[in-house]
Amino acid sequence: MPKLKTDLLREGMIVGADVKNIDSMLLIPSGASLTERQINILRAWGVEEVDVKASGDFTDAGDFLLQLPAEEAARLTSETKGLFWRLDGSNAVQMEIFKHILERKVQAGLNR
Amino acid sequence: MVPPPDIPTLVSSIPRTLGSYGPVLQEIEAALNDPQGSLTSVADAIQRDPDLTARLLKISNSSFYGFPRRLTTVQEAISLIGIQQAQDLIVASAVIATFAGLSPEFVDMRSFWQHSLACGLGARFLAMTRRMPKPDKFFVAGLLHDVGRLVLFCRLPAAVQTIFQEYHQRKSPLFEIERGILGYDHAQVGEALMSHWQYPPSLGQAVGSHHRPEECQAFPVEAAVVHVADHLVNAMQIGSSGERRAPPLKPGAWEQLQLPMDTLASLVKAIDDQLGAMEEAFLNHDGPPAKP
Repeated sequence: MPKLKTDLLREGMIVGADVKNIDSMLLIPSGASLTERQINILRAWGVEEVDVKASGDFTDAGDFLLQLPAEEAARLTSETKGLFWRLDGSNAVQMEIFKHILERKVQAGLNR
Repeated sequence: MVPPPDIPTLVSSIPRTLGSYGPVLQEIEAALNDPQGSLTSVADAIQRDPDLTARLLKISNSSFYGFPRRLTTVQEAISLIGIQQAQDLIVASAVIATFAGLSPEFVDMRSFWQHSLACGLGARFLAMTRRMPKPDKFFVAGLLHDVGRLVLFCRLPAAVQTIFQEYHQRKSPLFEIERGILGYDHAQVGEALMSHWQYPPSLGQAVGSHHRPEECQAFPVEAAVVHVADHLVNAMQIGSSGERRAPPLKPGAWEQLQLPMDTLASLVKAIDDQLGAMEEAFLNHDGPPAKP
């Protein structure tokens, strides 16, 4: 699971492991969808980095989505789903192809 | 609606016009059939056509072949890529030229051939990675996989209009709508055209089964290669032959190739890396204008 610098955190990202302060007090539980307020709390406590998963239902699509704001990642994922007839989520090859197409789209957006 | 003609009638009206490529291909065929056939005579024939010379050198020097140094003469290029491969590339040029005069009513021709070139590159990459003999044959199969659609565009424009109307209303892949309206699809038409033009059966069947590779008994790997490449390049949105989405990926098609999953990442990259040079070589020249 990737660790992301606190400065790069965005609303909607899913926390992958409990975040605690130096006194081991729980700040944000694993699985929480980050809010702006929680990100500010992390900054206030001086937490430097956090384990995150990608947002929402595209958790497995790939870490490259973490470079994007959550809404942008969701938009690109939805657009990419629309490029396939009958996308079969249970077919591992199909999902691998989906991932590469989405990654290519993300890269194209970043290079623009 | 008047019932559509059967497939043999449809393709019998499309002549195999080689245009200005005819003499070169004759020379190549003679060289291939003659054990004493000389590279020089083939090179001379190609050099009489400046357009073809430029195209061949462009492709030979591109990442498609990836030779470590620059090739400057036709003879050098043919000796490295092989006469057979040169023949494949010229045949591909001749087919593109055959349909050059087609009206862009249903599809932009540049976009059509971009999609086709990308599919050819993908098919060739898969064949090379699987260490299949003569990978350039797969390039031609990928390049021609949707050629049946061009036959439909120029011979059955009214039916194609209905097909596209339904395509925009219904949520189904284009080839399924073709089948619903005509009783056959562009892949079957393409296979019949390949047979009419006396191309090898492996090429015809790879074209004919690219939406149903599981039904291709004689050349299952060839059909699966084109099927996977077509699915991928549709999803990559490189040009379009009329279809706007990736047609369904048939279960078992990838497994037929027996390639590791990480091949997919290299496949996407190879297509992106090589497409520019192929477009430059095949699409930025004015081939001999002809209308089928």
